[in-house]
Amino acid sequence: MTVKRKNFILGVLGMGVAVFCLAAPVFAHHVPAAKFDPGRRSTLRGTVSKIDWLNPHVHVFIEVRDRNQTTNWAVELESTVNLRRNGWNAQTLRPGDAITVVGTVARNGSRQIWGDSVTVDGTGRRVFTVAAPQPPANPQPAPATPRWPDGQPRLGPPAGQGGGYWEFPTATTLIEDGVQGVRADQYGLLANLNDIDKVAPFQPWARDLYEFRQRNFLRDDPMFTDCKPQIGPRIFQRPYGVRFLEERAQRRIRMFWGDGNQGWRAYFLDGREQTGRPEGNAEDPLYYGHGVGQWEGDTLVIDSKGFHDRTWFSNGGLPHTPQLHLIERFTRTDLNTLRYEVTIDDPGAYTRTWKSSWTMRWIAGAELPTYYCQDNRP
Amino acid sequence: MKMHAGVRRLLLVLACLIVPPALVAQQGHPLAGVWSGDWGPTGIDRNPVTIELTWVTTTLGGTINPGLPDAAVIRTGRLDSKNWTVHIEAEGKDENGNPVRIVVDGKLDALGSANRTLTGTWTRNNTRSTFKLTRE
Repeated sequence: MTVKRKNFILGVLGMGVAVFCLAAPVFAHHVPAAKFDPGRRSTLRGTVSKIDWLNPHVHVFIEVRDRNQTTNWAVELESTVNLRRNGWNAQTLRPGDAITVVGTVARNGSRQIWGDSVTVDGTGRRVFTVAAPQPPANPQPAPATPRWPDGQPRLGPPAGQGGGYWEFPTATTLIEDGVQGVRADQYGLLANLNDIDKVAPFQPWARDLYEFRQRNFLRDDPMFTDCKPQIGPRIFQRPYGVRFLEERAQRRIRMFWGDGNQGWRAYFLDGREQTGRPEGNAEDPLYYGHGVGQWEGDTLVIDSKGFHDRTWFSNGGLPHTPQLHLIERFTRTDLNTLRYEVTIDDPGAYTRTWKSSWTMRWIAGAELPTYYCQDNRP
Repeated sequence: MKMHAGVRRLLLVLACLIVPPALVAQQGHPLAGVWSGDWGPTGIDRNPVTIELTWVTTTLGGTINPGLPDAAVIRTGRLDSKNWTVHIEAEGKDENGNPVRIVVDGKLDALGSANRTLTGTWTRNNTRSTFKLTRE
């Protein structure tokens, strides 16, 4: 092969790798129904060839013998965090194990299957089962809200204790307070699309875009397709929790979360003016907007604006515009309960201001789970 | 024609630089943002155009540029979200100072994509053409 020919091939391969690197995240992390068709179930029997133990989704590759040919299938499973919580690890299966997989196959016709059920042949042992996570019970009467010496509630661990974070939101879909009977799954997919008009006071375009996203199984969610940050109330409806770091000397609170990009945001409680940006430049909006905070009695109130609209601010695909203005209220009602209430003012997407609220559970002594959307696997 | 290795590397870098804007496109109002493409009476006779559309409260506005000495200001803009069609009317002046009226009627496609498209008819004064725009 001539040097020029070799360079040409290397160049083409390089371009291919570049395109692959950019395209791979598109289907890396997703609502299962966006990628897999619940109406197309299949059963596969094969031999494990490789186990990819990585977030956001573990993959087990199997070789399936069918008539006179062998095909390789990717079995997609939950995240490493969820699998570990249920007692599974990278050694649960070994290359060479014979397994049977039942699940839903990829919408695009590729050899990928979402593993609803994985059984080891011969032993009949079910593996990689994942139970719906349950919060620990809150003893009654609930222990009192921990406080700083000046009486202000602590949003982190009680004095002398380490670790701990907030998880298990009682709602995972943003729905206006007072609305009854609207059911949705953990990703915000409504059980009944006739409920759309109950969810929020939409402007017509926002309502129709929300319906489009719902009918599309949220497959365009930039948090899933491109690992864009979850923002605003969505931070408090995602799995893997939220932690507060109260920097009282700096009059600042920082929040960290376990899902998505292990992101964080900071709020100043020093009385500075809400300008949209710390530097006072409202012309350059941010994913998280700019928030300033203050304590009103036992409630931390965060006022945020200056958002752009390059990501979704809710599970389920409620639209927002750069006119979004959020007032978030955090009240620790006892040791184990944090009440979150958000007031949403976005005249670009909604006909009036509206509210939604839920609670989260304190997970004592634990660290935020380690999860990175950017681990991206195709 | 064979390409020099340095040129291929440059193309590779450019490919990496060109694609990322798709990843930062807006997700809110489906029309808000900058759209680029062309309009014209035939497949060969095309005029490049950039439109900036804004969504403020419940008003669709913005500018169409270039095509006139100064940008044509959008006077009326409507989105029918039941079928994702768009109607825009803009006014400006040509190089001789004569008033020009532009009417754009189009349909949004690939709505869920960061790089959705808008295609349809482009009427400048009384001359009808076609157009295609892609959101940046």
